[in-house]
Amino acid sequence: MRRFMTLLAVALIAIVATLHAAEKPKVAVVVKTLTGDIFQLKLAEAARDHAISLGAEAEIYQAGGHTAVQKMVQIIEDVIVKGVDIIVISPLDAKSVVPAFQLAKEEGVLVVCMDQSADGDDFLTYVATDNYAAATLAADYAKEILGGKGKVMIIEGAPGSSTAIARRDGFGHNVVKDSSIVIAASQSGYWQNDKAMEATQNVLQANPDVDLIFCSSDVMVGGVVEAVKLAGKEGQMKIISFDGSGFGMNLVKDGRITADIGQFPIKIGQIAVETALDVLSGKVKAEDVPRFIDSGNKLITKDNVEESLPDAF
Amino acid sequence: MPITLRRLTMIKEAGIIGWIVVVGLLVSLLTPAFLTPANLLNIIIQSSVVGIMAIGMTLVILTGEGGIDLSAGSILGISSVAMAMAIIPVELYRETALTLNLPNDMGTIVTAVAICLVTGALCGLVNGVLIAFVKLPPFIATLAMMSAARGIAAYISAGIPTYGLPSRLVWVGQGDILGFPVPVLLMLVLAAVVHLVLTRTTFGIALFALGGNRETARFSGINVKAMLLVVYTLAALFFAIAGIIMSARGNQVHPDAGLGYELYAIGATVIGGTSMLGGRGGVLGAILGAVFMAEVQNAINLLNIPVAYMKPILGLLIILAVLLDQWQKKRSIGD
Amino acid sequence: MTATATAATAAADIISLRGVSKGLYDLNGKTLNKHIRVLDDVDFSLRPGEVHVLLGENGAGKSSLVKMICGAIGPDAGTICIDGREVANNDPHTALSFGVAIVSQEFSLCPNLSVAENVFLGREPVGKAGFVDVAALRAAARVQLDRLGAANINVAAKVRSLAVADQQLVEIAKALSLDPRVLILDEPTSTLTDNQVANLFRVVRRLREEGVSMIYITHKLKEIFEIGDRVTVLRDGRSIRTVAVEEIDSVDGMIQLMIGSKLENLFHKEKASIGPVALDVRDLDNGKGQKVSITLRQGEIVGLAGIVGAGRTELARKIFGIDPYGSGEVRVFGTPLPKGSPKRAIQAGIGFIPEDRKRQGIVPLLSIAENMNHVSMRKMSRRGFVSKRSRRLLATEYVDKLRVAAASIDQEIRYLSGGNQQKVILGKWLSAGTRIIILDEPTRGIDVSAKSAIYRLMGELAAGGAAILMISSELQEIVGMSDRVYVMRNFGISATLEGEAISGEAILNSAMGGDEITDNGPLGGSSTTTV
Repeated sequence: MRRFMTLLAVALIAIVATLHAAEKPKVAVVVKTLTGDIFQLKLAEAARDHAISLGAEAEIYQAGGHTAVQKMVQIIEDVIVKGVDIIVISPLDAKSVVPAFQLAKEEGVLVVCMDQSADGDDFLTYVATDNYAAATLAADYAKEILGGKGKVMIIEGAPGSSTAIARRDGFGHNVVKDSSIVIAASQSGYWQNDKAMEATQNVLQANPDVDLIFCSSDVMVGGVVEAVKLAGKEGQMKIISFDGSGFGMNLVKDGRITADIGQFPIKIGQIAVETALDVLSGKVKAEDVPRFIDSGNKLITKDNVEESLPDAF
Repeated sequence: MPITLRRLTMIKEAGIIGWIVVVGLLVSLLTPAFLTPANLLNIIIQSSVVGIMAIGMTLVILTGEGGIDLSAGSILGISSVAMAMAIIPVELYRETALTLNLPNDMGTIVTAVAICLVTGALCGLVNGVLIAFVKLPPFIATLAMMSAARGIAAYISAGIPTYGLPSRLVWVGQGDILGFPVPVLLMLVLAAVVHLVLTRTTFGIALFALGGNRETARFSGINVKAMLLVVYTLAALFFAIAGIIMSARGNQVHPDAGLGYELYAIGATVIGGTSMLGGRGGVLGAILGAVFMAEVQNAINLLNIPVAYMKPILGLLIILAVLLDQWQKKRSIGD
Repeated sequence: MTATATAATAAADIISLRGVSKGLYDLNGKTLNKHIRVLDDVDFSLRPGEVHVLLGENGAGKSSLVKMICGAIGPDAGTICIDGREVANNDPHTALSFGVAIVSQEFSLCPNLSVAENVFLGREPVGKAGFVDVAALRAAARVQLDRLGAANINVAAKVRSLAVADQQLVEIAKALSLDPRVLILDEPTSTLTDNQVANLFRVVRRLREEGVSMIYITHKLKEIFEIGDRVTVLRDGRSIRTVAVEEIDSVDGMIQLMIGSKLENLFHKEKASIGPVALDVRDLDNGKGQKVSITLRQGEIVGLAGIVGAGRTELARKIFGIDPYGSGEVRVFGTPLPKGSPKRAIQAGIGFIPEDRKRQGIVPLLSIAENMNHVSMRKMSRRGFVSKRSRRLLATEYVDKLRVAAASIDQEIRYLSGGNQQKVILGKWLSAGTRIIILDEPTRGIDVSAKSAIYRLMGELAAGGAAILMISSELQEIVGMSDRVYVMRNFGISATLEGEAISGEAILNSAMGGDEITDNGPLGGSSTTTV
């Protein structure tokens, strides 16, 4: 009797183990919100679709807003309990998710950050646009079209945002390098269209002879375009924006701005999922994965805007 | 002359006017670009959105007992989005952000503006019901509306901004009548009307009574609940009007339009001398408060003051302005 | 037969309440607890054209009764008849439309509206284009104020710029402007000068002749005989007795009805040994060019008398360091006290109990224990932390010692009667080891028995070595309690009286300077005295 029980137990364990081996890896895609944020939407869908195409199970979870910090932590804890193998996540901020990431590490769940990084080292890697590098691309293009001389202004993002600082510095440091270009002003547009418009209008009062405006985000560029138009400088002042959103690309297509720096949310999602699955399957060792993976960038001008539009978000 | 000066300090708004002049003189010493007709006009146009919002905010804050509307910016946003969606065909709205060369049909524009105003008023009505009948504290009720209205705005617009509105609508934000910018005229007319209502009608007196001593207002036969309902609805109507101006001025509508603007509106109201405790203040001060804030922003941009210094400077100026205002108030009460 | 008679009486009454009860209620008038009754089976009737005085200690139910008549609170049981008709749901609108107006004890004016706007709030005359007719509004307000003899009040002025007594008159003018059929006056004279009181009484008599019925709440028993027709005594939420004024045999009898036990000597003063100088104020610049010097010894109760606005409170605030002053010096037990620091004053052992209890003395939403610990906690704290247990022990000790009538030390202080609140405030200072106590109008708005308790406490404190400076507008209180009296006039000291020299007459003479003859004559300050 006792022997039978032992046999039965062994058999059961064997069956469970086989089933488990045959089971697909489970991926949780956690993002800030899906409503009203196309960047996050594209990111999430790309991650999910790519995971499924690589033979995994994947599901999207959203915190529901840009301030739902608590909800996001709860989601992470829940999916760990559900037994997922991989979490690809776009954290709301760098700090609040740290304890949840520690829990994930203890439970052997792989975490990859997308677009926004987190503190500590309890996640595998961080995939995002290298904002400084991408803004450098904008600076190089500005130098090219200005012929190495002239006056530029920068519309920054919100004060204190690391993204805003990286884009401002990437452009600002490099546009003056090996050129006689001067930066007339660098002012905040607060990631808001109308604030950017007001800042542009005000700066143009003191500097009507600006040749080029670098706008740190497509979110604000509409205001810059309108301010330039109202100043009667449409077509004379060049504008380079940043993001590669559908809005920005359409402005390029329409000739209202000169160029847009594209980022690739779809690529971010795909790289994140693929890297994690490779580590899970043992194809790549976790130690060999770099701490940061640049998802790349692209200069979008009238010449290549048509082919770039499908990548827009 | 000293008599004139003394009489000047007796004017309620003397403090804020003084600040506008002092900052203006200081900045014009530092840059010649400040004191030009074009730039001054620029400042006043830029103050119109916050100014009109501050009119609504003043009404709300005057009701006292924690009267405040944190949903001001979100109501501006949702009404603007509603207006844009009434003009631009939905398929187009969700497809492309560039909606140039739209038909300039007056009927459509009037309908869209009406939809904008009704949307705003409905949000305000909900605020009013929550506050007057459900008896939620205004802070909580409008905080909920702030979140809800912004969420709905993002949802129905799919988060897509649109650029390019019919030029007849854009005229409201960019046009002028005999050289006077339309948004500024609109702000001044609205302020004058509300000022008259506040100082010369039973509604105005009742509103001050509500903020000064709500119990007394009730015992004087003033329908407090109806007053709150009307005030929050009216305020939301002003936020929606500000939304029309913001959209028309920028020739575009963003689902994030007006994000954080409730704070600018509250700031302008308080800098303009309206007491957060209610029952004291007025709209003329609020308009001047908005002008002052636009002036400071303009100065920062003109002088290219680094972003890092900007917020502390703005904070300091607000505190100084309020201090001066209190000092001036004490003087006008004393003896 | 009996039923018909009752009906006939009821019809004659303009207002009649039959067996009304009301449990403890919240700010909206909603009953919280039916069993703790603030009104218990009360009968009350008001005849046309009578002045019906409501008498009772604080907390006896007077305010609740008039609130019920005004429609601010509804009864749990019993019926309300107005003009012979039973009113099922009395609310402020119904009461107002019938012509019930109230001048409440707590000011109900809007500080940032003008006098005229306040008087006609909600009933402003509207002229052309829907705008308020300001000229008509002001003229109408002028008429009402002139009726009260308040010609000095500017109808265009904002109410916040008015003195307290003038605000009270505006309040009365507002009620009169309603042409009320029933006028409720809740302690209307507590802030008025004799002159204004006389004017008010004239108006009351005239209104009575016009057929207006009045309910008059007061603590000043003498006023009953001046203007009252009938008196109803309330005690612990019950109507004890209703009697015509002519039938009152003795004042003591009324007081006995009010407090339910034999009246002891109101002013209870133990013999205290007078010690060294505790507080020494030298040439303190009290404004208006007046330099003030006063001394206060241990074991002494010193009265600071004078009319409202004579600069008494101003002096006390300067001594305590709340307000700055120019020249002069304050010494506590020989040590100079730095100017302008209440904190240093408290450390030196001075306590200040302000006049405006609600605004300056208590934190209404906190418990008795928490209110009592406000001053002493700094002394008790270790590195900023205060032991809850020691706080509660201390609070319990003083609640017992001062005989505060409360359910527990955790009760919110706003539910206590004025007298008990005052005791808690006293306890707050005593528990902090205060040796010099400045009391500003310590018994204002407090009923007779609580007054007696406060006086007894003051006596005990003085006997225990405390030095007490008492600011008071009630002559009998000053005369009855003080070892020495400083009389103030126009921000300076006009007389110092001691021992036998202390009399109401002498104080009034020095306070008025003999040149201000009031309507009741210079010595006719009877209306400001309390039995």
